[in-house]
Amino acid sequence: MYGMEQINTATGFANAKFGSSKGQGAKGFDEPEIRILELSKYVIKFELLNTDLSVANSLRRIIIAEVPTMAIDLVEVKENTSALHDEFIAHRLGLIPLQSFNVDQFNLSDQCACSSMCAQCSVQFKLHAVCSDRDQMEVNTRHIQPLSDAPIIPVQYVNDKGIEEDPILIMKLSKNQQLDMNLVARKGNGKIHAKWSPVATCQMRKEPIVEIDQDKINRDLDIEKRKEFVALCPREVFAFNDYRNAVEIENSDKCIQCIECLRFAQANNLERAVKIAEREDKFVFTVESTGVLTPEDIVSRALQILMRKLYELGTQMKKYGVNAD
Amino acid sequence: MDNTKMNDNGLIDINEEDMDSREKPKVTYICGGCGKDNKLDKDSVIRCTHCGHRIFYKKRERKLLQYEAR
Ligand code: SF4
Ligand SMILES: [Zn+2]
Ligand SMILES: [Zn+2]
Repeated sequence: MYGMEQINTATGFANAKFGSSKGQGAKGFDEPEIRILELSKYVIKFELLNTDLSVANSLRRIIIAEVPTMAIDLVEVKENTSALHDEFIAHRLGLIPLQSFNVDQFNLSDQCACSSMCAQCSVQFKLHAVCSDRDQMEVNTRHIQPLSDAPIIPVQYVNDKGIEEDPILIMKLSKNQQLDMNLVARKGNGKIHAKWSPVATCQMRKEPIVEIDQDKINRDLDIEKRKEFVALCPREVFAFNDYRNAVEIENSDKCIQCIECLRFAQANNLERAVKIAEREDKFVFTVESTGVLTPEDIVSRALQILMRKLYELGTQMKKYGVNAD
Repeated sequence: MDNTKMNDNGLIDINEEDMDSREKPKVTYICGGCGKDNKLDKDSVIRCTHCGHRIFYKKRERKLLQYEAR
């Protein structure tokens, strides 16, 4: 698949950079690695291994705020006789996700050679809606018509069964009200305004480690207490095995470090029988796209941006005689 | 100063008549009671000539208006 391939090249790239100069990374990490756990049309889940928290967090922040996309940024109102005022509608239009697969062919407007606007840095749309023959009419993203053939259009969501969902509702008009606007989309990133952020969610967590000393727990606690211990975890990390009458770890991944189990152990003089910790070298990401880019594309673009930043930092450090390793 | 010269913002309604008679500039407002247009100058009583209502609304700017969608 196209997207996966891109991620693999991107991480290969990352490996080369992080790994090559050191052989083994700082703090004795092996080469960084990405393992994709789940990939769907709008969501990617992956593990980032063998890196520091700082690197994982940079990746998270770049995904949220530095992956460029397109969004409506200028609204010219010719006619608005609706109940909502101009600024209100302009703000709503700005938040509409636009398919940005071709965002690379555009310039950021402040870096463009033109003086105000051109085809290299902006895409024009028209929004015209009149409610003449009905009591009420919905204005949605289908009313936004591109004025050029640039491949930037409002996102059309598709559900799990591959059926198109309703277009995004912008507002409603009642009889004899009308809207006539010109819209200009520009390139930007989440640092400038959150409307350019490509993700709805970008969550990162360290993988939890839960260890119990089964022998000790199953010896020192009576059966009632064992059942109590299993029941006290709010995330059902432990299970009670009815054949062995023993406590077992069912799903340590679910642990939220609430330390309920530790407190129970302490109260029952079993301090060392339960251990809760987090892995410092493994991070689980959940990235949910708004539909402007595919989720795998967001991650691979973010990795490329991170690489470029590190490369720049490296060259600058060399220039000032700092050892870049 | 000639009043008619400063009236280039869309809010102020100048028609040929006003220009000829050199009257004070009049602005058209919409009556909140009956909805009819009323032309008022700066000294006139805020009162509808048709129904006597005392609340008026401004007319919408006719120019193209630009907004940042942020
Ligand atoms: S820390 Fe909380 S969530 Fe984690 S295993 Fe213990 S009780 Fe369950
Ligand atoms: Zn330009
Ligand atoms: Zn009136």
